[in-house]
Amino acid sequence: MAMGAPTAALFAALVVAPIGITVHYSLNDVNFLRDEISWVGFSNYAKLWESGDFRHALYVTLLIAAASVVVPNALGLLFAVLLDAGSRLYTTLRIILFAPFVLSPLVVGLTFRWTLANDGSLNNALEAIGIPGPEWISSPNLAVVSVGLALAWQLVAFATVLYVAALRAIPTDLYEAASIDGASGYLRFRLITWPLVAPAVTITTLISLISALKLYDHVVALTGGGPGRSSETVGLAIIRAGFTQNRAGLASAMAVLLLVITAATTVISLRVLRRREVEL
Amino acid sequence: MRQLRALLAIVVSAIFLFPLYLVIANAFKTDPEILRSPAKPPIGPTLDGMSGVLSVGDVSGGLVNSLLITGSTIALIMVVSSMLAFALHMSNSWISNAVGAVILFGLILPTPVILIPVFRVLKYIGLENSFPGLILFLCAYYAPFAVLVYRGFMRSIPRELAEAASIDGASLASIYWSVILPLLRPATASVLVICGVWVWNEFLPPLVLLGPLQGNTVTVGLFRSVGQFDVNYGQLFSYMLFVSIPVLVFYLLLQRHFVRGLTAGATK
Repeated sequence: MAMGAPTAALFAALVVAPIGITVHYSLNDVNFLRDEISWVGFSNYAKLWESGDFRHALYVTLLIAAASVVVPNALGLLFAVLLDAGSRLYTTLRIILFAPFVLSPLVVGLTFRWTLANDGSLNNALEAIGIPGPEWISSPNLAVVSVGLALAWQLVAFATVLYVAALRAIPTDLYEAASIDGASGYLRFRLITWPLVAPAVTITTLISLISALKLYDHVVALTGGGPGRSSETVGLAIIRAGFTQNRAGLASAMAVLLLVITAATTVISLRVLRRREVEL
Repeated sequence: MRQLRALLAIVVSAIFLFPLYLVIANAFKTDPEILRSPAKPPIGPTLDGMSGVLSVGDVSGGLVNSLLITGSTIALIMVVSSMLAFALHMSNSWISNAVGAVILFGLILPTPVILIPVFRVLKYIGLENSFPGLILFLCAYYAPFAVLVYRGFMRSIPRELAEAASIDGASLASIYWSVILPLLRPATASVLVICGVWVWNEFLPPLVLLGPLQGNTVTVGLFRSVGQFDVNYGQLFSYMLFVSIPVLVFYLLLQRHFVRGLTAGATK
């Protein structure tokens, strides 16, 4: 057991203790500049409840999280079915298709900012086929969509590779037996593929949820939270309150809420998805 | 039918990878070319952007810092998380079960949640605004994932193996070093490549924990210079390419371990 002690101590000091301190700060008025801290109970939380900006940040974050569960799972499985073949072409495509996942979110955000600009490549392409390109980044609603797209790009890459691995692990004689029994393509998917890729659904969903709820880098690079604060996520709100405005108490209350939401959604999804895996 | 599928696969992949292509292609074009036709491949490629960004920004310093921080962090993660995983593997006491459960919780923790107090803790132990402070934090933050991968892998190693060695009189530390660690090599490869990519790409922790006075990582450098390069796209794309090349190469060399680690850690 002694061998685990250094790691446990490191984790306790730099992860567990900070969570405790965050909870403590959230119940106080904290001013680092004057080195003052005073107990205020739940008033930071009450302020958040009343703050339209924070409610909007929460809404943006949850919206992107919901989209990030659906889009990568759907597109990832679709791409995987397309790419699940043995020849060298498909192996190569699978390897390079994963590349977006290893890129820095900052680089991804900047690239999308440039691609989605009013005179960017996407709008040029749209205009070429006769569709007037919208203002992706400077309109409040589409700015949120843009951020979601940048994150989804990376998550779809991740999901595709996981689904391909899951598909490749399904024994082909299952499909052959089903075909002999006269099962249609849809039935084969419904009864063989979908249940057997269940573990990939679980991982994709969890990774997507966690990435979306902590979203920061993509937003900073792509919209900076703007226009105004229309695409601000909770992650951005925490850093702005904590560092730019020096309101660590308020920022910590946001952090505690984000942590509770993250824990609740991941635990519930894990329960639901694991049950599906077991029912096979 | 087969050709049609191959064609579809190529077209879909090409559309999907278009943003990545933009970064690579435009890093080798001149500004007028980029603005006129961003999607065109770099015919007669220029290295002006690449050499320009190396001379203007503190890119080379950032690259060295990022290499240093990433290298030390993943080396440390490898040691501390395999040790913890081994200790958890060998023990069944309630303490080790509790530690295992708490560590798992670290997997879902968003970084913005704890960075303010982490800075305070590092300040308390005198490591604020320093590379060692950042490295220790990143190590603690990514240890849960590494522990998960190692523990999953250790399930395939019979506990009797270590127990037999300990009956022969070997200490737990020497069993770990000479029996277990060599067996863990595939898991270690996965941990190194996945955590390596994550640590390299980290932006908020170095931004907050290193502070403005230190030399910083290449991601923070890129972020700080965005305004500066607004007029020079060739240099901006070159900078983005400099940030991306190491992770892309690292991934392409070790891609099998990457996928195996991501699936092995989670399917068990």
